[in-house]
Amino acid sequence: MASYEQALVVVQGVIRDLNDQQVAPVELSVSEDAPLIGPGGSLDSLGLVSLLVAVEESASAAGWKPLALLEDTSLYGEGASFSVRQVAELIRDRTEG
Amino acid sequence: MASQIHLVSDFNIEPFARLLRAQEKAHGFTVRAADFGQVIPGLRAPTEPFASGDIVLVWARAERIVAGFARVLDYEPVPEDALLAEVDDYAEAVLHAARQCAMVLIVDWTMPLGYRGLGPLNGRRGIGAGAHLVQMQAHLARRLEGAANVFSLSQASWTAAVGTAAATPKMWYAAKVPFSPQVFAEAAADVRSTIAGLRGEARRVVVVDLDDTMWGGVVGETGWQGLQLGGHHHLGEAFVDFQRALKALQRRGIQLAIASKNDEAVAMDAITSHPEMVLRRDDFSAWRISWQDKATGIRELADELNLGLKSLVFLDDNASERGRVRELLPDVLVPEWPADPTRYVQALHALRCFDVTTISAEDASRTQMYAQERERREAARGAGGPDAWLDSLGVVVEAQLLTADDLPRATQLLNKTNQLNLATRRLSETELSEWAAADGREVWTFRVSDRFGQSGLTGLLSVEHEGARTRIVDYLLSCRVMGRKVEETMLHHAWTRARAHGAVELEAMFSPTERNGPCLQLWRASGFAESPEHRFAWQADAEYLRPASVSLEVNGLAARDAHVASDAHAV
Repeated sequence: MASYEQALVVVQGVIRDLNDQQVAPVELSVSEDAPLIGPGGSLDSLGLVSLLVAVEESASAAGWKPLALLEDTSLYGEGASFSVRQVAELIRDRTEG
Repeated sequence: MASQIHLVSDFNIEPFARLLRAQEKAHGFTVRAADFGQVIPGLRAPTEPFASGDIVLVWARAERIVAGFARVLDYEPVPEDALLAEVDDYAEAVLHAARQCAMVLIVDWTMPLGYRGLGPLNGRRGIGAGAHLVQMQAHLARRLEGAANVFSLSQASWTAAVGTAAATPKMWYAAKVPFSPQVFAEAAADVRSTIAGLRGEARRVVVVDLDDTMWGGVVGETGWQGLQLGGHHHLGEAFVDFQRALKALQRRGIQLAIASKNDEAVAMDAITSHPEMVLRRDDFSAWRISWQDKATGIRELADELNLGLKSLVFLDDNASERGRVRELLPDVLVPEWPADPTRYVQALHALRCFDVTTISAEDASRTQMYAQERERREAARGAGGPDAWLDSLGVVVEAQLLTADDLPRATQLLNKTNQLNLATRRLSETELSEWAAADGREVWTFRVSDRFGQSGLTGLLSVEHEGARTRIVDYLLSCRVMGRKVEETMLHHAWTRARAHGAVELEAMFSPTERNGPCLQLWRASGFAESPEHRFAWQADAEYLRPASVSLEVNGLAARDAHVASDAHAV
């Protein structure tokens, strides 16, 4: 399982990669309170899919319990809203046990 | 409106488009991604028409563009003729697009990532998908070989560079993106280097260090007999292979030069005497082998070769030497260099700065031309002054209206020449050909030779006749032949063309760039009257004399002008 700090490092690494890839029209912040998904977030649907798939890949590379974030519609359904911190917490929770 | 890069693909190419858009400042194009999945219609009848300055990049996978090939992958028997007929349709669509725009870039075909097919039978003609793909690719290349503005980019090299991270299946199923961001980054780098090549920004000279770069060891300490080069040693073999890779660059027109802190006699003895040296003295266009600062030597090399520092790449194993050259000569490209000599070839091949869109006969013989230039300089030192030297050269300039055979080299010259270039227009072969075909326009090419040898097609002049005025649109000359009165001979020829059309004035507008200062100096010394905004004019009733030291042939005939100038217009 991943600690919160480990999960945060993964999420921030993915965000930096997405910035390098110019996925979002503006540079995404890596600060824990920065919105990623929902109001204030600047990822469109392609950016969101890229983020979730990259997080899954990074978790897999770290040897954690496999994540299936893209299959969880609560992450990108109507009204979904997640900050960097919340995505890191989600990873911590989903890789438990 | 700025020229565009149109992306035409069978998949969601938006991630690639975003990368290219972020680099718009660097490549100067706006980027437009067409709706994916409509490749042939997108080439034949694009939603937004292609403009003559645009680039069309087609990234279509074989199994999506050739339906029969998808069936082959599913192990259905498909006759080769049927596959090639589909390739014909694709080729026709590409050629149609190529006639509308400046350049088409096609991403070449590979087997689907991870596809093993029939294993050992994959390459068997008539059965294996691998064999079918080779036939399709070869057929496509044959169909496109006559299109000078169609080029291919290698998807195989991008995926090989990235390895197993080349694709994430989930991105395909969720977003129809078949490649990873790393693959797109490799592709974007190739697009940038291709555009740079088209604009004449490719590097032209590799300046290389000697000790521990060209060979292993320090020649001043061990003599050439003690160097690690060739033999039965892995590092010795690696240095030989690195020299071979440099030699291959030289064969395609990239000059080699040396900047080394050494005793010149000792280093040259190694180059001449070591039996395993691949590169010999004549392979280098110039060298600075001394104890002076390398940055100073590199600046002198650029001067000697008549090239700007932006044409140079410097390779050195020593990080502090690289750092110093980077700091003092920021225009010189100084790539990071591996500590391990077995990686030198890989590092050289990874450099994209040599990409060009055409290679001419002049490129292949450039080193020989620089050797001739060295002989000219030595002759100049022995001559009784500049005029006597010029007279002794026996310069012959052949002017010829642009022909189809010369179009590739003329376009290359137009796009590569920076210093002695009046307008710095950058045109594709199609654009130059179309421009020249219009009424009232002429494009002339100039070949230069003298008693030391041929310099090839090294000058270009285009003029536009409008009523009583003839305007020089392009006036450019390779730096290799500067200073031999070819400059004035071309102006004389422009004057004869103006007179032939009854013009009373010959004019030229100089467009300044970062690098064409020498051209402005030339025009200011030309005798033409300068007015504001760098407009230069010559009243055509006065003859613009041809230099006496130059013989001029026009379309294969000796020029009939009666007058020559012994020292007119000291350009």
